[in-house]
Amino acid sequence: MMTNMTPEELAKVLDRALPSGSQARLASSGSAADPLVQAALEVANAPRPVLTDAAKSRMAAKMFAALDALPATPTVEAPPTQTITETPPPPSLTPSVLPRRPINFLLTGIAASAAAVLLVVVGMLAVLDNRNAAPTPTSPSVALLNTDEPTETPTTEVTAQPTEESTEFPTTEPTEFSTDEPTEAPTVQATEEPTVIPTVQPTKAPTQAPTVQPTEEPTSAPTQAPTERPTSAPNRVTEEPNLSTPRETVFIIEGQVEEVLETGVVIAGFEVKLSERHPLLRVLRAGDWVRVEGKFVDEDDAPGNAGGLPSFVLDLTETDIILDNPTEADNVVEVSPDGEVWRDDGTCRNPPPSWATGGGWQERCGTAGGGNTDGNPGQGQGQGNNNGNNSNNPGQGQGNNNAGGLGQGNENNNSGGQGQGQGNNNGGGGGGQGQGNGGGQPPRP
Amino acid sequence: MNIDSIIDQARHGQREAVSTLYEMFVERIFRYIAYRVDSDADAEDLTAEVFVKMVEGLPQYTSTGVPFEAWLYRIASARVIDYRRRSNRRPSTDLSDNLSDEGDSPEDHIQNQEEAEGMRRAFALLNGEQQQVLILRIIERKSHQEVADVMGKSVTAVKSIQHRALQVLAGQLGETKVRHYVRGVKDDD
Repeated sequence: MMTNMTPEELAKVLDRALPSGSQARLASSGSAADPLVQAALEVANAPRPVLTDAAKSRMAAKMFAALDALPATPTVEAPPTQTITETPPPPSLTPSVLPRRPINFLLTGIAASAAAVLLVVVGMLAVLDNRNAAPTPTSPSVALLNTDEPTETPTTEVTAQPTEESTEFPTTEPTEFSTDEPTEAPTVQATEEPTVIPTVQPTKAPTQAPTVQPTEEPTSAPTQAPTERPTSAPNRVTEEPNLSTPRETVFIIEGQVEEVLETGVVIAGFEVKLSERHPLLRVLRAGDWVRVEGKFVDEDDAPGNAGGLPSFVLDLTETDIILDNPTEADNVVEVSPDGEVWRDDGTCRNPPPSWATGGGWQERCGTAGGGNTDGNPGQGQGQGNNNGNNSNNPGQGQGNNNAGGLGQGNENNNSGGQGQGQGNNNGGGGGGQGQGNGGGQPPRP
Repeated sequence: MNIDSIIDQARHGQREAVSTLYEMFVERIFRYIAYRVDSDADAEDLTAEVFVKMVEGLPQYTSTGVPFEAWLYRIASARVIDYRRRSNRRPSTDLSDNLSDEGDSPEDHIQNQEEAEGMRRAFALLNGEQQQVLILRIIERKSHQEVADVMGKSVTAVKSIQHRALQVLAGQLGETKVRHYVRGVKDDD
């Protein structure tokens, strides 16, 4: 994996091969001469995640639920007299999301129908109550409600004459998710009888008299809360039962290795027995995060289980062990065809054997600079002498930030590795920031 | 209607505008996340969180010249980081159930699954910045400048990150010897 391209040159090549704005899949990615370009083409040709309609629906539901849960935001300042003409709704993107999810949005549909019923009732009340001289403020919610599903252009023209200016977003209309009838509703003063009632038809006739009552004062706080929410994504099933072998249970343990034994490891107090030949047994370290799968050994068969207590020995001689450390370099293990194992220990002191690729190690240490061969390039800076390590690096320059902690202070850098000495701290601890003398004992091997 | 107008309406709680923004960006955000987490189910959860954060943050949103999309990507990036912190693990085993092309034959589907798994594993070797650069530049096909805008970095820095990321990937993609796991064997094998 050699390349002579600089980042700038690579960028230019990729600009030609993968121009921005295009989404074309490349016909072939196997002919690129440069490995970096080849890698880029493989990424470009990788299968794309496809967002299913169901997933999109679930996410939309969560988002709108959050939107509904927000406190009312001043959105529309109603003028003292506002004529609201119902017009055909603009193309609503919400329906483009919703109709494809009939199950999830069944309640929404019911709620919308209820809202439509309410609208008709409100309209009728407005007609019947048109003798009232001082109507309470209404809101553009009439129009909002009608944006959902009118099938023809209504000609109703309603004039709302609020008695006082309200800057609150409509609070008394049900939302899409609402199934409750509102406890308060605006009174709408119609200037003339509507000639056409919006064609949204309720799915059921109301079974009881509407409880909508005119109010005298507008409320400022939302009174409606969604009562039904589409359910969230179903819980994922991590292990499917194997119906063909119902009595064979597979255990999965994820956790930190507490101890490495001759024939296994201890994870979270559980002894996990491994094959003595299991290659990972040779490279696992206490502190590793692992995920192991295996079968439970009957307690009578468990080694060393002479008593009647349940055994916590898992026989994992036929299983996968997955290193799961947060730091990716700690997860790199290579196995040769003849069973040799090499594990990157995160430093530069353990180079890969010839049969291993050692990608991470090469990346980290193959072009090492700065005079230090211990650990990842870090942020350490400082000055001072550092005679304590074998490589006798100058005390200035790049430091290392190994897995250990930060060194500070003016102490000498002893073999423990804590402390000082900038530049390099091969003693096993972390290089760090600071100043001072790094003299001291040679580092630990 | 331009994006600023839509954003302004969405800031004021208009559902249609919010819905428009969702439709515009949901797939991009999902893809951005999907390569960086264990499974599509996790990607879905995090994508939903991003848009919940969006609607919660919209009232306070003010345009600072950075594209709105960049804001969403940053929310998404934070969600991924938080996800990693919560789970304390890197992408490992879960196979995608959605990473496929439409109309695949079963054979193609399996191959795509394998490729997708390999890609996720390969991406797991990259740090967050490297993942972001490759996803935005190579998968989303944004220009280096656009990537720089999203990430708040210089174009030079983006190119450098891209170079290092591809170096890592070049050493891993298609390489079968490197494993994060090894299969155990029975003693009597």
